[in-house]
Amino acid sequence: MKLRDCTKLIRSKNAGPFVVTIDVMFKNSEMFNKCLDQNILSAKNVADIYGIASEKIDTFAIPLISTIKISFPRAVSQGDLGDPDNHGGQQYAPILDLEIIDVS
Amino acid sequence: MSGLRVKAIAGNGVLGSGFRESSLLRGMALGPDFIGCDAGSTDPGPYYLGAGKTAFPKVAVKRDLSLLMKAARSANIPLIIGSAGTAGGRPHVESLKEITLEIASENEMSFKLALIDAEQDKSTLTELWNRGKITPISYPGLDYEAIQASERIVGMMGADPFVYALDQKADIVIAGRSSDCAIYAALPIMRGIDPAVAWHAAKILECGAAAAETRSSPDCLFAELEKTAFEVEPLSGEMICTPQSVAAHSLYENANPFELIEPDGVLNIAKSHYQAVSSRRVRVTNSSFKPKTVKNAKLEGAVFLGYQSVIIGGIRDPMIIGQIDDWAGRLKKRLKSRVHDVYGKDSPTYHFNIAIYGKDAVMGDLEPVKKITSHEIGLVLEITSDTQEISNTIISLARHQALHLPIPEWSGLITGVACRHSPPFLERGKVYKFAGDSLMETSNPLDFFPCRFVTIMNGTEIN
Repeated sequence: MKLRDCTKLIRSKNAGPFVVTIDVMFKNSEMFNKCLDQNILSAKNVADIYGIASEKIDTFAIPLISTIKISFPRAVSQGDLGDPDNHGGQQYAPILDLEIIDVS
Repeated sequence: MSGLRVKAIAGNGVLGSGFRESSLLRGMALGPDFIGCDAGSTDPGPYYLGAGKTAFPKVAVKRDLSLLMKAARSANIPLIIGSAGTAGGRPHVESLKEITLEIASENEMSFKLALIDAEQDKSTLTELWNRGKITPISYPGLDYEAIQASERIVGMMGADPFVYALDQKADIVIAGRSSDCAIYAALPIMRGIDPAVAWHAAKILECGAAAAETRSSPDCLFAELEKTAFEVEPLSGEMICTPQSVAAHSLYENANPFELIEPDGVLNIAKSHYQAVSSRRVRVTNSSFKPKTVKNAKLEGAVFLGYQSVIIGGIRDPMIIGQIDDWAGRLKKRLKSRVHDVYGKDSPTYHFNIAIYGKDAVMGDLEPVKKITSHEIGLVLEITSDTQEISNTIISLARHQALHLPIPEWSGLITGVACRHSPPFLERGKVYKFAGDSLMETSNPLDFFPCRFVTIMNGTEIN
């Protein structure tokens, strides 16, 4: 199952002018736990997808709301020459099609 | 429930973004102790801080402010506004003050207005830097060079300047750059609410109805704080708060979902408990707050980069699209040579950026998809230089070079870019970037965020 099919919202946004943060909010705790168990959104996987060093990536699991949060420094600070996305709002797309194996 | 209680209304997440008048009225019937509203953010980008401009249109700000002022004055409760005019510098506070006076004059209102300055003078900052009182957070941070290079620098105030203004019996507080939460934490803390409750409730209130399950449009939020717990509910009958929606709000625009760093201390919500007390109201307990031993303020600076001119266009020829990276490289080279032809040895320096929509314009270096599958691509050519005239000149040269840049597959003169406009370029004016993040020690915050008072009598400023 694709990540986009087992979440109610995946979004990205600036967390201040120098950091982008991605919220992956699952439809239920079952899929949230599967994603965690299968390490789908580990710092290493995210680093490989975006081509940034894994030590720059912080990930947080928030069981209460079945959400995984990923934060990393922007390559170009908000509004600087060449910044492609002033609000950081479209930086989540590459993780939408990650596959979670739906086995119980 | 009995004992100490403070009730708060948040107008919305940004003054000028709108709320329903009916929601505000519903909140006023609940007997609030104050109304708060955030009026700024770095979210619209560095331009507003640098240029001293505001992101929301005056009429939209005036509409919201007018309703909030009338509600607060008729109930005789404080109206507290932070991060005035988007960036919270001196011109931003001044612009919101003018709108406030306009509303006061039109409605013959009387009140004591507090204006809190958040702009930091470079000479003071340089001295603080030399004394080691400014610590970069990001690399390189707002360091000595960035202080000198910045057009304008603001500090982000915590609760103390608000507490001072309210202690002095201000009816309306208009503050420069503020922690969003400080707007809402100040009055509850003054009244003896536990700081953990005050700061966590403030964090939920600061975006207005964003903490509701489905926020159909920006709107008001209501919170009721007790000594060790708070409850929150939306004021529109069509919205509800659930434990999940309230807990999820702490994620938004925040890198760490468990620890929220404020000028006054660190709010920890990792063990917070969220419980539904009705179908639309949520009770929050068990947050903690650790005060900082030395208070500090985050500094935000905007550095002037130059004047920019841009061209918007597109390419449909599959052979040009197929070699677009090479094409862009050749265009940069040709432009360089053409600029040298035109200006000779006095060639100005300029920055030329080519954004290619349909390839990687949205994500830049982070884009993992390398292959273009679209039948057309969009182009934005950007020139930034020291003057608008130079940028206009060089973007005009770039247009002509781009238009007729040859490709090996065609012989003869081609026209390879579809330009959107005539004249083809847009003047973007001054552009800025944010200077890095730093923290400035503020052992006495009132020294860094001075407050002045203005008395308004029947719509007229009397001192």
